[in-house]
Amino acid sequence: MKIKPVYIFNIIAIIILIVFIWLDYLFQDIEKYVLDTNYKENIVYVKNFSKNLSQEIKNKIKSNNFSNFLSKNKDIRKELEKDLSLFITNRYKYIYLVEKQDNKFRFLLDGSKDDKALFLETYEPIEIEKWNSVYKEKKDIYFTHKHIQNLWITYLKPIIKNNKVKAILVIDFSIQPYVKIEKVLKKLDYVFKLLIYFFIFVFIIIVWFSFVDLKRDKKLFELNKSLEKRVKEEIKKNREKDEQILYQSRLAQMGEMMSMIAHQWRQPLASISAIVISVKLKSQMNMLKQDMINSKMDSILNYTKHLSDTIDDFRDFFKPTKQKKLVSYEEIMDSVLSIIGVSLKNRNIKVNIDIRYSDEIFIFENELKQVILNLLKNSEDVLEDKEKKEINIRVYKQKDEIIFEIEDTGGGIDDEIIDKIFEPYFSTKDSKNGTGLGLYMSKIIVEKHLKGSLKVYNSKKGAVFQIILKESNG
Amino acid sequence: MKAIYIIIVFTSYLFANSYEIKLYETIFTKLFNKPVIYLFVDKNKKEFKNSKVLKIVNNCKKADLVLLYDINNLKCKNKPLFVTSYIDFKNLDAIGAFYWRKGRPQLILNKKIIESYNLHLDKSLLKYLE
Repeated sequence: MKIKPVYIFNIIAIIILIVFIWLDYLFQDIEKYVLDTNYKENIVYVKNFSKNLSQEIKNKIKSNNFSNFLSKNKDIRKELEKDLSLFITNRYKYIYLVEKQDNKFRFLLDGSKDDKALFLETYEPIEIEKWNSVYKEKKDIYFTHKHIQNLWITYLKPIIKNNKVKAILVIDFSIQPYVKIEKVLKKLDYVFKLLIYFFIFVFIIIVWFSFVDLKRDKKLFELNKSLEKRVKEEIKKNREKDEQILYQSRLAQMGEMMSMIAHQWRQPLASISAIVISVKLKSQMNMLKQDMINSKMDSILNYTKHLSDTIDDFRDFFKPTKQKKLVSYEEIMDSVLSIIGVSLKNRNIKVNIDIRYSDEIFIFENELKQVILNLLKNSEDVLEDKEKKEINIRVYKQKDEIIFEIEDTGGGIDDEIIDKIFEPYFSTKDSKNGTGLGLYMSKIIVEKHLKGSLKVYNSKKGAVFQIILKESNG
Repeated sequence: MKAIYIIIVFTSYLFANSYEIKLYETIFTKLFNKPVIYLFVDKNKKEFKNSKVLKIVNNCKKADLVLLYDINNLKCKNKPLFVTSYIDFKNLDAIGAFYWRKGRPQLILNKKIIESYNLHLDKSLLKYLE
């Protein structure tokens, strides 16, 4: 079974689609894992060190009023700021302590070296409600800053003493690398999804093509089926036509046979008639003797036998041969001329025979005879009103072919119709003498039964018909 | 690529500054309660070029307000002063300051100084008083 390329593409597209869906699923899993792990680990780390810092601050500030204590103890302030600065890196950029006083935040400690805030400097944070919520909820929070594309996280840890939030430890840290990773992963995810949609699209297109192909195949199948039906019908019609032609051809042959029998019988019948008249005359004159009667009766018997033989000859002649037979062209010509010879002679047609191929050929004898007879009959008809009445029969070998030629002196066939003479129902004779089937049947017999070819051309004298047979037939 | 980078940086710089100028326009028009304010600036004069509210003067004596980026450029001491750092705000008798702290914009105003210049303290500015 031949697999169509479109089906192979279909299978490949499905496999690629499944692989991409699976990769996307795997990728989403990995993406979630990578982001969660990085993000959470970062937060956990910040929470841990902020916890230590918070404890350190609480331990060192031995008062409930942080600002008051730190303003009085500059050394502790410096010490704590140094502690905060220890955790400052490129990622953990700002670590500072703020206190809310009269609804305003003020710096108490700042671990930064650059952009360092003064002690008790007022501070207006962005998203202040979140800072206020730390005082209310007494819980640490972290949030990203949308206005800087979520590249930073602010972590707010309340410093609780006596169940009151005394200050907030603020850690601003960058998540830029994670954001970058996240962006790359999201882009990859997008590419994956795009590829999946692309392959779905390709798959749909291929399926559509398959569908169209299938439809076309179905149409072709139906067309083939109808063609097959039409061919069968045509074959049947042709067979019927052939049968009809054959029937008509047989009728025509029969007519010709009758005509030829009549020719053959004319002479013996005339002889019988003459004998009968002679006997009758002798009897009237009382001159009829017994030995004479016997002699005349023998003659009549001979003639009637000849008549009977003629019928047998004709019957055998037109009977198709069932098996091939070894026969020479001389024998064939003798047999043909025994049929048509008298007729030709009566019409003063001279027959010249030049046989240069004496080997026997293995052939359906009667079929070849019929064709030759038909060609001779045509020549006979053509020569009827011609002054020079000659038929030249030549048999010779050319390469591996045996060529049997019949040339008449009838002036040839018109160039306009020479290509049509082998077509059925084509005739130049009047409707009484011609059916238009003789040459058609002859050509069929030569080509189909004798496996040779029948050709025609005009010579200077007249038409030349060639029966060309392969020597291998011989 | 380099050209594109320069254009991007330059554009963002322009926009960033335009926001700052807009902020100055809002604060100063509210404080002076008039549509046009004559401003003396010691630096970045070009940034105010397109402002229809803040008109730059070359002589600080003709100015309604002095905006200082560098304290060393202080000349007209009797004019209302606006500074760009908290230290300057604390050390000089400035009516206010605008600066960036920990990546966050900070606006701070001094009520006492504002009142000393008989400037109008709009309700919307009260939350920025120190």
